[in-house]
This record gives sequence, C-alpha cells and structure tokens, in this order.
Amino acid sequence: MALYDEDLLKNPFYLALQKWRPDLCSKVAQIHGIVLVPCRGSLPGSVQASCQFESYVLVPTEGHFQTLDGKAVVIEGNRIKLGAGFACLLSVPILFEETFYNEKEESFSILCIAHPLERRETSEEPSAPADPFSLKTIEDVREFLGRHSEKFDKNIASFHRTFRECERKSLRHHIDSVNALYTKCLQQLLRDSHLKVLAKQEAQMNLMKQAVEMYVHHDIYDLIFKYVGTMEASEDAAFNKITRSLQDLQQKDIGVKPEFSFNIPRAKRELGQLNKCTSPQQKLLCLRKVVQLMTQSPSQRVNLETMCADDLLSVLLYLLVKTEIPNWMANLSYIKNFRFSSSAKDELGYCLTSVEAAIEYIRQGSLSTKTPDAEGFGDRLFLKQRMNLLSQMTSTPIDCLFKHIASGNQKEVERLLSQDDQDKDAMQKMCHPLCSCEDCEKLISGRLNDPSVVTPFSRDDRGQTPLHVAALCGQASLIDFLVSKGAVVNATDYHGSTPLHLACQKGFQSVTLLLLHYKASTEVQDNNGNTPLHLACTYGQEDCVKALVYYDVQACRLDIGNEKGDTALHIAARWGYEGIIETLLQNGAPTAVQNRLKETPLKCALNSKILSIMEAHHLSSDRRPRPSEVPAQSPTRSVDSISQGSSTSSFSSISVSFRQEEVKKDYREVEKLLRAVADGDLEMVRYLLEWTEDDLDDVEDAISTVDLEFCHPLCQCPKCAPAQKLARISANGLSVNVTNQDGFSPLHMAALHGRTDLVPLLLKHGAYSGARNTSQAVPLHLACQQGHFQVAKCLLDSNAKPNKKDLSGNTPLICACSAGHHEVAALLLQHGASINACNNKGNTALHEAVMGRHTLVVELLLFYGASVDILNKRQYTAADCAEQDSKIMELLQVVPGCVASLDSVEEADHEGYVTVEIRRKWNPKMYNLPEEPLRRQFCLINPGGRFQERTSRETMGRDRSVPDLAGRSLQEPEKQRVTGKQSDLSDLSRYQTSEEGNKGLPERPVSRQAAPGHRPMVRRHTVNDAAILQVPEVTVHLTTHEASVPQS
Amino acid sequence: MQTPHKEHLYKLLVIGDLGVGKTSIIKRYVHQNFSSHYRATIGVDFALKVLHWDPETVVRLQLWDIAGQERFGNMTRVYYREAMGAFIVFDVTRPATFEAVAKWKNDLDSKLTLPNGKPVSVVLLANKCDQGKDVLMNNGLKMDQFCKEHGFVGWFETSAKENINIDEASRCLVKHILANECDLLESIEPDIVKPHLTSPKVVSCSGCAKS
Repeated sequence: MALYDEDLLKNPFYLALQKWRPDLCSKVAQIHGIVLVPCRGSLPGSVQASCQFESYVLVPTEGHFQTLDGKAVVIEGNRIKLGAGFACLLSVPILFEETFYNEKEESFSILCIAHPLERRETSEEPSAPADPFSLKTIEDVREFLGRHSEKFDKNIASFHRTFRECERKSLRHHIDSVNALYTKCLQQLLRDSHLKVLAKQEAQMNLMKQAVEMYVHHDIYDLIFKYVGTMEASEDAAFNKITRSLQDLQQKDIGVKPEFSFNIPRAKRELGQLNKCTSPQQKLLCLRKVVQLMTQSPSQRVNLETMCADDLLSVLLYLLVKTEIPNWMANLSYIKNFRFSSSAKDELGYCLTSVEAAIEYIRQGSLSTKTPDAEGFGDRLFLKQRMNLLSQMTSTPIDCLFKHIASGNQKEVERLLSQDDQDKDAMQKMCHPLCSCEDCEKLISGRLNDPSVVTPFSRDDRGQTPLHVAALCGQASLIDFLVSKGAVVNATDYHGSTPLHLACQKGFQSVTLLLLHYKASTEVQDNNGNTPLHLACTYGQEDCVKALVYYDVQACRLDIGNEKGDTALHIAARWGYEGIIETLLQNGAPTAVQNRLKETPLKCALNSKILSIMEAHHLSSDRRPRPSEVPAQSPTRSVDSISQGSSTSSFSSISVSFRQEEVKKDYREVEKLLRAVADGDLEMVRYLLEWTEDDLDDVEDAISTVDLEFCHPLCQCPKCAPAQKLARISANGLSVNVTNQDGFSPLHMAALHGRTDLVPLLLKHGAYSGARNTSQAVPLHLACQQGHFQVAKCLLDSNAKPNKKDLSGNTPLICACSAGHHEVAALLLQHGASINACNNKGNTALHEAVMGRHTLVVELLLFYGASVDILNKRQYTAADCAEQDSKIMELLQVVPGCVASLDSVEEADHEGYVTVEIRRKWNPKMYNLPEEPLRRQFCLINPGGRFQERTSRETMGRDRSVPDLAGRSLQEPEKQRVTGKQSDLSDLSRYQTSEEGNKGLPERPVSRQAAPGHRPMVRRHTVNDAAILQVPEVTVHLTTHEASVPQS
Repeated sequence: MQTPHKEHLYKLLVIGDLGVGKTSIIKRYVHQNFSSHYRATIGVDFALKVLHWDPETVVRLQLWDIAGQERFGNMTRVYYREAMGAFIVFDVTRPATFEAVAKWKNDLDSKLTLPNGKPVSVVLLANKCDQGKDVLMNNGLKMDQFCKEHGFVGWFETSAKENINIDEASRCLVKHILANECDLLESIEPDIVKPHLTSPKVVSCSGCAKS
C-alpha cells in the first residue's frame, strides 16, 4: 500500500492554525518545535477557532516533548503517546513528517498524525486500529522482521534464479515452489530462540506468518503475478468482454440500495489500488477495506449488521463492472493460490469468497442475460409504455416505430414508414395539383398536419434515428429497408454515435457489414473521440473488428486516436483481446503511436502473452514499413449536429461518399487516358488532357486565349470553346504525368504501343521521360523491348537517359538485345548506352542476345566492342550460353582477336565509380588496341551512367509512392533538394576523376569509324561544360517531379 | 532496393455448403493446423495469408470464410463485393454438397463480376478427399468437363486434415488472378463513349454572329 500523503499547506487544521493563531506559528519556529497536524480525512468539516491549538504544538524538552499548554507527549517510533495532562492516554500513529521554513529561515517540523488528539465524538468513530493482528504495508513488515529479512533475501535470490528455468511449468509447480520458499523462510525465522518463545502465542505466530508471507511475496511479485497473468490471459479477456458490455449498468439495475451508493465512489477508489498490492495478503486487505468502506456510513444509521450478504454482493457486482481493473481473473487466481498463512475462515476469507462469488456471477453471464433490457432498448420502451398506460395516452408514433424495429417486426415497420407514400397517392386523388377546393384542401392539410407520420429521419429523445435502433438491436434485414427509404447512414445521436458505432459496440457483424456496404464512414468519432473500431475493440467484438478492417483495408484507418490518444491497438492491448490484436497487427496497425500518457500499445499490454504477440510483430514490421505511420491525426469530426436535424446529416453522408467516389473516378479517368494513348486515339487523349487545337502548334498562343472574353460564360462556339476548355484545366484536367496504379504514365503507354505520333506531343507537353512504373521501367525500356525505333529515337533525342535500369537491372540496351531489335540497339549505342552493363542476373546485353540467338544483334554488339569475357551470376560467359557450331559461336570466336579482356572495365562498372589508380593500370593496355577511343568512352561513360541512375532512382523512388502519401508531400521538396545537391556533387567529382584519367592518355585523332559512340565522350572532355549541361537537367527533373506531387 | 516492389492485395471468397470444411481449409492454409472440433461459422470470418509469390511480388490474400447458410440470407452480395477470386468447396463424402456447387457458382456470378465484366476466377475444391479417396478418382474426366461447363478455372482434391493440395489450389487461383489483372490492364472496354470534338454540327452563338 502506498504511503499516506497530503498537501499540508491545504490541510484545514493547519490553515485554521495559521488563521487564528499566527502567534503560535511564529513561536514554534523560534523554538524549532513540532506542530502536530491531524490528517485531513480525520477532521470534521471545519476547524473551529475554539480548538485547543496549544496542545498541538510540541516543545522539545530532554528525552520527551511537552505541549505548549504543558501536557506531556512521547514520540516512540511511529507513534505519539500522550502522557500526563491528556484526558485519555491515546497513542496516535504518525503518518509522515515534513520540515518547514518561515521567512526568517527558522525551521519547524510538522508531523501529520492519523487523528486529532482529543476526540469529542469518540463514540461515533469506529475503532481505527481495527485489527491489531495484521500488518498492513510492506514497511510494517520490514520493521517487524528487522534483521531477519536479510536471511530471506538470499533464499529469494535463489528462487529468482531457478524460476527462469522452469517458467513454462504448471501452476501447481509454482504454487509448490513458492510455498517451499515461504516455509523455508519461516523456518529460519523460528530458529531464533527469542521468537520461538513468542511463537507459542497464537496471535504472535500469525503475525510472524503474515510478515514472512508478505515479505516473500513482495519480492517475487513481479515474477509470479506476471506468470499468473499469462495463465489467465484468455479468462481475463473473456471476463473483460463481459464487463465492458455492461458499462451502461445503473446501480438500481442490480439492486444496489440507495443508502450504499454514497460510499461507492470511495470504495471504487480503494479498489483501484488493488493492482498496487504486492502480495495476496495485501490484496485481501485491500478488498476488506473496500467492504468496510461500503458498510460504513457517515451518519452511522447503517452499520455492518444491516448490510446482508445480498446487499454486499450487488454492490460488489457494481464495483467489479465499474472499476477498470483488467485482470480480475489473474488477481483472483493469485490470491486463492498463493495465500498460505491464513485459512479461509477469517474475515478476509469472507471478503474473498464474496468477491469470487461476484466474479463468478458475472462470468456466467447472469448479469448480462438479466439486463439486456436495462441497457438496451426494451426496458426504456417498457417503462414508457407503462407511463403511457398510466396517463391513458397512446404511445407516440416514433416510439411505436422504434418498438417494432427493436423486435424486428418488418411488416409493421414497412407499414408505418410507407404512410408517406400513401399520402403521395392521396395527392394524386386531387382534382389537379394546385386545386384548392374543399376536398382537396382537406387532403392536403391532412397530409401536412398529421403528427402520426413517421419518417426514417425521425429521432427519439436520444437523438437516435430508426437506423440507430435497427443497428443497436441487430436487425440486419431492417437496415436494407431503412436505407432504401433514404435513412441517413452516418447520422449521429446525442453521443455522436453513428449506427455503425452501435452495431460495433453490440457486436452485430452482419449489420456492420451492411452499413459498410452502404458506405458508412469508419472515421466518425463520437463524443469521446472513439471510432467504431475503438468501440469494437473496447467491447471485445472480434467479428466486428475483422469486418471493419477487412471490408476495406485502405479505408479503415487504424491509427486514429480517441480523446485519450488511444488507438484501437492500445485498447485491445489493455483489455487483452488476443484475436483482435492479431487482426490489427496483421493489417498494419502502428505499434509506435503514443497516447496522451505517452504509452505505446506495447506498454499497455495486459500480460506477457499479449506483449509477446505484439513484440514479435513489432520486430517483423520493421522490415515492412506501412505508409500510415504518421500517428493519430483525428480526421474531420462527426459533422452531424443533432440540433440541426436530419437535413444536415444527409449532407454529411453525401460528402463522405462523394469523396470516396472522386478518388475512384480519378483512377477510372487515368485508365481511360492510358487506353486512349495505347489506341493512339489522339482526339481522345487531347480531350482527356484537355489540350486545345492551337496547343498543337503553339502553347503560348493557346494560353493567351484565356484572356479573350467569351461571348457568354458558357459559350461553346468555335472561337470560345478552346479557351473555355483551357480555363477548365486547373479544375479537372489530368496531368500529362499522371500514372495508374502500376505506375504507367501516358508516355509509358505510348512507348509500349509505339505511338510515334503521340510521343513527341506528350514530351512537348511536359511528359517526363524518366518516369518509372512500378517495375522501375522508364518509357525507353518499353520502347526498346517492343522495338519501336522511332519512339526510342524520339525519347533519346529529348534527352532520355539511355542507361537506366529497371527492377531486374535491365538497361534499355539489354531489353532491345534480348528482344533482338538490332536497329534499336544500334541507336542506343550511338546515344551512349553502356555496352557492358549487366542486369541482376549478371547478364550483359551480349549474354541476352546470345541466349535469344539474335545473330545480327550479337554481331552489332561485338562490332561495338562488347566484352565476351564477362561472367554472369552463374559464371557463364556469353560464349558459354551459345549453341555449339552455331553462327553466333563462330562470331564469338572470330572476334576475340580484337576484343581483349576488359575485366577492369567490368570491375569499374560494378563499383560504380572509377578511381584514378585503376585507370592508370589499364590505360597502357588500351593504348595498343585499334578501337581505343571507343573503349575509353565505355569506361568513362559507364560510371557516369551509374551515377545518373543512382541519383535519379532515389528521387524517383518516392515518385512511385506519391499516390499514397498525400500527407508526406509537404516534406518532399526538402528531400529533393538534398538529393539534388548530392547529385550535383557526385557529378562534379565524376568529371574530375574522368579528366584525371584522361590526362594519362596521349591525344589521338578520332577515327571516323568510332564516331557513333564518340559524341558523348567529346562532351565529357570539357569538364565545366559538361557540369553546366548536367546540372540544369537534374533540376528540370526535380521541378517536373515536384509539380506532379500536388496533382496526385 | 532489396524489398519487394509489387504488393497485391486480393480478396478471396471461400464458399460452399454447411460443414464442407471451409474453415478447416483456411485454418490449415493460414495457421498450418487442423482441428476436428467443429464449430459452425457465423456470418463471415476473415484471415490473412501473405504469399511471397516471387522475389519481386508479395501477394496478400484476404480470405473471407463465408458461413454455409448464407446463401439463403441476404448478405452474400455484401460479402462478394470486390472479391478477385473464390474457392467453392464441396465434401466428397456428401453428394448433396456437390449439387449445391452449381448454385453457389450461379449466385456468385450473378452478384459479382470483374470490372471488365468477366466472371471472377473460381477454383473448385473437393474437400475431405482423405475420407473418400476413390469417389472422384474415376471421375476425373467428368470433373474436368464439369469445370469447363460451369466456368471454373480448375479443381483440386483437397484435404485440410492431411494438408493435401491446399497450397497448390491457392497457387492456381492466384496465378489466374494475376493473369486476369494483366488482362484488365490491357483490355479495352468496348463501351467507351467518345466525345466528338470535331462534330460536323457547328454550334454558333448569337454573340459570334454579332461580331
């Protein structure tokens, strides 16, 4: 039990002392005396000025103290003994001591004591030191045992060691081993000859037993209670589920007598201390304290005798349900199994039995089966019906409707709700729609004034609509009907609950699914900030949790925090619902989110079983980060305010579903665009991208037309139409760089399908040639794979990088070669494609060409100086892949004369950069080769290509995830700037090294033959030019990328 | 870039008559265990299975275990929504459950199609084959024919108890779904209405006439 503490500066006695007797205050400071202050709880409402303050100020005299009015006082240990002069010679416990300083830096002590020294109403107080034979706190025990406790510590330490080894053994094993430890310690205690004599008195013996037990348990509490918690994990979860569902329970529902309700808050507070107790004994004392508190009454009219077992039981039931202790079963099992010293016969045993009975009662569901009416709907209706009967009035139509809904009487509900339609029929009976003859008038007024008409929008005194009631009562079949009648799916009641909240709370899975089907929002938060998912977790409704999560993983947000900052996972962990936790974790619930108390879900775990599940996932989830790591930003709070009635709520539901549809529509638009591109349907593409006619010729001109005044705002004449369209671009035009779910941009599509006419157009409109799809392929890859020469040329002419790698490491050259498109391959080589680059399998373009038996391509590659000696990951050279005696084999064997080993090139290629050292080493060798300039170009360009690729992949890596990451887009420019800088740097350094490498070479006239590959090399000789050329290019990428972020 | 790049999430239905072993199949497939303890599913149960399809692709399967009685309820349309494939299960030892297969298939096809209008891929599972091994052995040909007639992509003799063919059946289904998805991407919906920008009918407005 925690030590007593209170703020003395707010103690009424101390305040009164300061107020009435400032002289005493200064005096006590002068003499460094002691003030006795009775603790707050022991004081009557107000302290009278007549109080004898002098008796509370102690003056130290040798060996003992004297009060200011001359009475003798002795302080012994933790007690104050009153001596001569006092009316009754009490001994009062000291709770704590504090030292105070006044403004003159003089100190005095205040002793907080358990009760006033003189009791005027002693008869009314129940004897405070109730049970002299029990020790209450672990401090008491320590003091009692004194030096003996040291011996115990050794035993306990050895127990700790052995416990680790046998953690998995049965409960019985642990009970026995703890009992053995206890016996051993008691044995040691009784070896003391003095205590042996004392132990002959039964009371003393009991005290010793208690002391040893509490001491032992205190030190091993963590181990044992954790173990018991794990054993009882599922029982606890089941019990919690029951108690959570009973939260609406009222005192009168279980027959708590009104005279006891006064004590319930105090008892509840006391009971809340249960999990702070560290031994069965203390837990029992806590329970007894609770029972005592309940039986006490301030007026003393009710005492223990008048409270019979039934009364006690009902109060206990109420407390069990309302006190948020999540591990009752563990506590019960712990107390029952690990209590050795006392039998079940004493008063503590009585308390335990009562609690156990109450727990068992709840577990059997007796409470839940008895009270569904009380918490649900029927009871209220029943009451109302009774009242209505008494007042001789018929029940209001809305109640009538709700009653039928609650009982699932579909026919009756249909009849009531279709009254509205009948009235429409009545309308048709009128002479003509605006007729005002007497009969028609009657018809109309009857329709408008009839109060008995109910609609799906009617609400009762809780603000609930018929849909709420159907959800609350699990009437799935009525949901369909009500929605078809136009009921508002996301309507909220006074508590901010939607029908989905209620269905999840009650655990009606089919209703939950139906509501989701009708686009109920999962993000609405009620007045406590709970989403439907929170409620399903709180009430342990695993079925509903699964339905919510699985119905639409993307739509269901698992990271929303409620008022306390708890996510659904916090709640499930706290109440120990294993299945729910697993479901949440599997679907990516974040484990790192903190609630308002800075607890992560891991910290909330009820027992070690739960903890281990979550930890296992926590570790594995590091490998696969989910996009929704950003915590607990509560979305739009529920929009519907009840006072405004159903009209607004219908708006809110519309806006929600509208938003969802918009996203979907967007994707459909993109797919449409891509299909149009694939078809080469220029008109369609222009329509979808909203390019104007003039656009094709001159963009500037087209924009200037915006300034034109239209004939009238909606005019579509040939003159106005283009400008009209242009003006609309910002509204809903698709971006030219828009991508579908697989990352295909229109340019990808055009390249894939060889739309030679569309590619230049797209590029002109800012299509990004470096865009990557989900397999990291740029449009050039696709064009090369398919052998669309014109497209590839177009892309390369607009500065598409020739050496990018896709997901499997293929460069466009490898793609072209494996597909056997030799013209495209030649084109790529002319544009500086790195010839010896290899893919993830280690295959170069030559490998692929050989394996594809493309003779022409092989010839081309060899002509351009491809190395035949490069090994792929299976340690094959290109020749190893060729068929024997084929033409390719011949080619591969004939050319080796001119192809020397280029190991170092390959090495450089792998490293991604070229060091000067390596270059020096092989430069002389190259010098002898006929195609030397060409070769040099390769080794210079390769690293360049790799750099380019690396940096751009970094930036593009994010591009892929953009659709999911609207939230992150803010940080995006920052990151890009960084990568941009890096790429600048690396570019510069690359040119420096390449220049240095070239210094080692004598200038040679460039042969015409090598011309195709030569151009890039010339550019690279002049460092500054190249750097200038490159840098703007990088920034261009970035800006186009940035531009695409907000659009997506 | 070691992490897989493609992640697919597919919703699969597991349907079939009461007691044919749907839940057991899922238990076996997802949790690798089997219990002969029988407890009827109420409503629908869910499970998640993560397949590492190939080094670059991860397939996450949401398995919807739909209660056998549900055909008579009104809920199937809700359960079926946006599913990409299904297992229809029958019990080889109970011929009646096989007769229900066609009904389930019809129910499914009538309520669910892929975005391109095609029916979803469905694999037929002849469960509890450990108990009636010879029942279907002779009828393999007939089964193939049945599958073709009713539009199943394949059928498997399975046993949740002995763990026979369950992984294979699922792989078959996922393969078809992946192939279907590629089709979806490439296929061209026939019913696109193209706006005619250059329609011969030139609309003139009064404002233009004036100027």
